[in-house]
Amino acid sequence: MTSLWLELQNEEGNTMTYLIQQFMNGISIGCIYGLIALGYTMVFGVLRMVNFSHSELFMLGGMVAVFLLLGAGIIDVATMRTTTVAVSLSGLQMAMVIMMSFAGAAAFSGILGVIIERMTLRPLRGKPMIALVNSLGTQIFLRNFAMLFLGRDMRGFPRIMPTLYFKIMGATFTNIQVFIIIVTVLLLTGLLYLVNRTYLGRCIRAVAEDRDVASLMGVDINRTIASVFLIGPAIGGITGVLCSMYFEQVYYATGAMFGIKAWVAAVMGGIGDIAGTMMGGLTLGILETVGAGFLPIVSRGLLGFEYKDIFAFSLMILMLIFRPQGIFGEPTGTK
Amino acid sequence: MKGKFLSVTLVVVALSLVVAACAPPTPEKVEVTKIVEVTKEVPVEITKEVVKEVVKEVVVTPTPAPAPTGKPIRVDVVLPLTGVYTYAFDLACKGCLMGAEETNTAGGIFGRPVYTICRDDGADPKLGVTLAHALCDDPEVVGVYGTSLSLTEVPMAPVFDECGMPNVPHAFSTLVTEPGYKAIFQPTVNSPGVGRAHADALYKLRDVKSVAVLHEEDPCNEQYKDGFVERCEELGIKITSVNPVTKDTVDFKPILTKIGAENPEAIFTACFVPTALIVKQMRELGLKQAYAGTEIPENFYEFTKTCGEAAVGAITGGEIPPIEKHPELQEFSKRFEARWGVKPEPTVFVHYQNYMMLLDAIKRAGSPDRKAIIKALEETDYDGLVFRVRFNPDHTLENPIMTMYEVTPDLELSADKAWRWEKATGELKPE
Repeated sequence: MTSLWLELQNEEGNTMTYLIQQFMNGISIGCIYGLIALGYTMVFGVLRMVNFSHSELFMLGGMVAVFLLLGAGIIDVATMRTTTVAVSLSGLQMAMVIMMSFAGAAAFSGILGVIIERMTLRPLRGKPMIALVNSLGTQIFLRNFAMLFLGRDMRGFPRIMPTLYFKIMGATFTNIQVFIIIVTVLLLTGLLYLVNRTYLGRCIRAVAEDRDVASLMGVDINRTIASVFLIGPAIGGITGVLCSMYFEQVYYATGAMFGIKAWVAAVMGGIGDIAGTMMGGLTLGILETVGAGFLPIVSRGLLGFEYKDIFAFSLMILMLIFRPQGIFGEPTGTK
Repeated sequence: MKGKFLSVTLVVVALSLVVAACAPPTPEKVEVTKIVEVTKEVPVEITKEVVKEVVKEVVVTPTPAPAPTGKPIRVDVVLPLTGVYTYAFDLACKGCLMGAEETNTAGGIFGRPVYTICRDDGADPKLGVTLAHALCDDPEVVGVYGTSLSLTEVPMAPVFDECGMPNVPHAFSTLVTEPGYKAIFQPTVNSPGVGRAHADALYKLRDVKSVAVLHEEDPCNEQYKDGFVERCEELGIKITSVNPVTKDTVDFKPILTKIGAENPEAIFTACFVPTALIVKQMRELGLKQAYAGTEIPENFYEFTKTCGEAAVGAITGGEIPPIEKHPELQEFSKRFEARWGVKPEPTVFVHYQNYMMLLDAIKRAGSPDRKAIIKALEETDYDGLVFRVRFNPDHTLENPIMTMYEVTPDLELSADKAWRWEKATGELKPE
């Protein structure tokens, strides 16, 4: 093991730098997993089903932001198709552009989420298996819709914020990574407040607890479920913009792998538990990133970086076998 | 009542027909307009110079070829038109379609029009093989240009060979020709050669002593990597690590952090899609190592737009010589932009050339017969837009060319930073 550590020594001989760097990389991607996972966890909480189409609502958030920026003249037709354009904006303009992107993406994904619930899931309420297959169909439909009408190829996402670099103990990270963390904290705080401190939140918790009793207590079930389908996808849409800002690209198939990873994060944290889901996302991001860095070293080159997905899926299998309620979830079952 | 209605309707229809028949046909109207325009022209004094100009016009302007008629000759193009590879190959398809249009404007082949459909293999070997079977079974199709990725072409090639379909792919892997297929012709430099050229460039231009390698695991990129590693060992360059990556990955920071800890003097990538993201994330992590990467000229403008200034100084190579030194490439570029409204990626030049080479073989074959076309392809000596195409007996390119570039600060592949790679010696000679 000592020799393995020695292999990680960089020029300054600082192994800690390596770990901090991987940790920072992991937190950024973990925040994205966690935010997407919130959509899965909220829907599962009230409907006890997985909304697979959520991954596409996340992808569409990034796509919509590109078109909004195009419409607002931030990028032009010639460059928007394929490029990442470094746009120079003042601080206020930058904030407005980011807010506009977030608002547009959240509105689009949120409203689409409500439409999906109203058109495809509400008629199938009480038929969980059919609803599950339906949500898979919706996912495939949305992905192909995006491919046909929004573009078959990768699109560049404009660099709204000029990239700034920071160093902590030799590890480098960017302002975009810091921004992702800040937005994640704000969204999580807001969501926790909404669920725990507002009337709507009480309704959501009541419906999640027992839909029939909640109905008897005067809770409007349809409106509550619709609001969940508004909030979850809206957060997904914002996450789509964050992800596009981080990787500076949007692509119609982006939702596929991110969606699966986010689902793993939700299972890991305890599906239905908001804070647990976010912790699951962060844990998965860090584990995957640090693990992917170590994998070629530990396996002596036998397993390379291309096997990084092994962590997410192994974890899901282990969780489902040994702790299906997730790390932070409460065990449930029939008495 | 019914009878009255019917008779009124018939009268209305008859009147309409009479009015329509009396109206002058549209083309005549155009003629009248033209005559009016001519009469408005200022009379020109007929001097010696004017006569000279008129004669020159008559002599220089070629007589337009008669429009091709009859049953079209089908030459289909297979390219990855959906998925992560789309952009560059969408333009490649446009290049081929432009070639078909130009051929038809020049009278077609055997007086018949060339008809080309760009088909999508989705960069998926399974889809590619299904498509190859479908093309083989279509008696109308006499030749296939593409596909452009070895990962798809390698399983498609035996299908084409078995049905005797003349096939000219733009895939670099030696696995395309090594089995000795009769119907497959590879007018490209091969993958190990590309890898070796990049090793020579890093060694001679950057004097590196150690390098880390990232590569996609497909028949082409594996061979780029093998050629690169083999040449590095010959040159005494230490390989610090070889790291496979997948084309769908977007977050390369974990592996780049690990490479950073190895502290190599350079990083080499044998990838297609993720190249730009790798370079960008490399610089974001503060890795200032020299960088060389294959396939960048395939979608160069995309690469530089994604990377921005992180692309400056990147070493890469391809079949395209510096465009500013070749007026015929500039002229093609203008034609392409006029036709499609977009600048061609450097790779489009080669796709256009090789598609036209296939059409040339059909012409030389004397008939659109698959067997005759294969025979004609074997005897190819085609002076193309980019280079001369002649095939070795094993259907590989006789004299493959390779130009190495260093991306300039204004994000261009310029002649000032271009070197012709000599395959035999590994020398780099300024272009």
